[in-house]
Amino acid sequence: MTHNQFDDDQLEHVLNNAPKLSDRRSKEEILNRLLADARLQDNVHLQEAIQQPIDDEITLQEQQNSIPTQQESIETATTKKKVRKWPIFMSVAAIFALTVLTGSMFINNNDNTKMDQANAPETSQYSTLQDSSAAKSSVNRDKIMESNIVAEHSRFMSLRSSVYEEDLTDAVVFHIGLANRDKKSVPMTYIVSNERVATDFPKKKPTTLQMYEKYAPQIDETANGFTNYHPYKGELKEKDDKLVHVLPKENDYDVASANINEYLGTLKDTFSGSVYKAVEFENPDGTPYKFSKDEELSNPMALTSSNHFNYYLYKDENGTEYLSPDSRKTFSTVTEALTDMRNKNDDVYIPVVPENVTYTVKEEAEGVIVTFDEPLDLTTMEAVRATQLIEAMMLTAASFDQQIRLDNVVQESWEGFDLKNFLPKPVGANKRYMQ
Amino acid sequence: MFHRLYDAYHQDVFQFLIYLVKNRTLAEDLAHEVYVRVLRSYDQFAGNSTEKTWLFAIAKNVAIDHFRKQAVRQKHSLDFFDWETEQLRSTTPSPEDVLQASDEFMQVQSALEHCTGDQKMVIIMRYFQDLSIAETAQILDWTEAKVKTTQHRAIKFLRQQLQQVREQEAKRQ
Repeated sequence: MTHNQFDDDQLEHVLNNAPKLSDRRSKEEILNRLLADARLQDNVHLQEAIQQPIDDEITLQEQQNSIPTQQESIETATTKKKVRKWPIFMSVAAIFALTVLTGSMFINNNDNTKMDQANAPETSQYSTLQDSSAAKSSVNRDKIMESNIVAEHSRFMSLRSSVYEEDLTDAVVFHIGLANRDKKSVPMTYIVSNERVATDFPKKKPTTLQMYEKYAPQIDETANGFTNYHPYKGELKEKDDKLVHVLPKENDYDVASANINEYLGTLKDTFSGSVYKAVEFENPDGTPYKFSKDEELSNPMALTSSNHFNYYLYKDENGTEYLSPDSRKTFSTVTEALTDMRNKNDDVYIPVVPENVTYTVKEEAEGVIVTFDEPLDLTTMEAVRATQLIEAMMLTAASFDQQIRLDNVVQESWEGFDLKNFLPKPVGANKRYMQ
Repeated sequence: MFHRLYDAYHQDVFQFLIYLVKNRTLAEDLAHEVYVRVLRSYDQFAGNSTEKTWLFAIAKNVAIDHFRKQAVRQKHSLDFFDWETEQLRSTTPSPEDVLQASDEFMQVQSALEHCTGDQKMVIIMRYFQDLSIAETAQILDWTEAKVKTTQHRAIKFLRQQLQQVREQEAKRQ
């Protein structure tokens, strides 16, 4: 990418050439779902819709005649529309009996052109692409083409899930541990724009506690698959270099050891790495709080010395994936932590290292080096899994304040990571944006 | 009616939603909600606007309701952006140019996350959806002047953001 002045013309060019994103579902699928919606049970417009034919009929011969070459397919990768034959009469029962064909679909750009015309763009943003031959060509979504396009355009989407310094050119991070259904804390890293922080805190740079008090209530935890946990009950306050949590007499944090671990985990994920060196637990009368379910818990709890974790994959009920320490298991050395990443300790956290991948770990002055025993070809893994492997190792090393280098990887770079050199230390796991 | 609206505008409305919420499944859910509202309220459609702007106004309201329900406008980062890669248009002839355009669009997309909700909506409508100023104003129930001002500010903000990114990159190199 060039580094000349970014002017309005360039920006408008990029905006005008935004990728077209289409709904992959068929009209039938959409109708089926509407039919299943109780709110539309007697809707006359829907009844009318299901009694009409769905798509224009185009013969197979026409489709085949318009299949372009693979290269054409890639160059003209345009908005597509499925063309299928469909019986005219459709009853509710018939609709539910229909098989949804999502595999080999034929696409017709003539239809697409019509659609574009119907939408009447005054100046087509894709006019340069749609020369007569390209506009007329149809695309056969065979596997080769698809994989080529996926490979080509995978560059569009970042599979990285962590936050890096480069994400913070005009923003700051807000760390928070969100509580999951397994009563564990998942470390999340929210990016807050400087503009937003300046608006929210016009007079003075906020402290970590002020950031927490401002932004934690704005996170819809349940909507994101987490337990409604924040903000903490009771009062949080700063005392010298410590954070004090004045716990209510009756609280949910101390009802069982699992609750205590959940509570401490969220505290560590939220306030470790901040200016606070420890958290002190107090009763409302100012006396030290004693956890009934864990009498040996030190009070205050240090935030600085016990955060050496390794990272695993955690999936919530919705299938959303996170990189997270496994039950806050800590390690004394980065070698131990990285080596342990191959082990499956429970059913909640999934190792990111494939079973057949082995490696050795060496600690050097500049950082830690993981050398895979066999050349690791990342393309043999799903791209997202390969990225998770790399980032989980980076996060693990970062929890020891170290950078990591991965040796004996076939690829020299992956997802923008330069694998020939030491990788950057992530700022935090599980990137989210706070508006 | 359903078929006419679907055939003419479904992909446009879907794209509008997916660019707003950046999650395919969610965009599908919201598109469903749009049709529910359309089918239930079509009889009340007075024809004061075109069907297109009426449909987009409903889509906008559905999206806003979704964000409201979330209490905070939870941003989905790019790693959750379910791109339909096979539907992307290659805008330039050479792979190198495609790559560059991709990087630039990624940066724009990222910068867009820092815009206000109004600015983001206007950019999506005006550029990604190719809607005119008059259409955008009608959908958002704004004056055309407000659309122009918001667009101008959004472009200025995006340009500044992207310029900063370039300067940072230049420094690093």
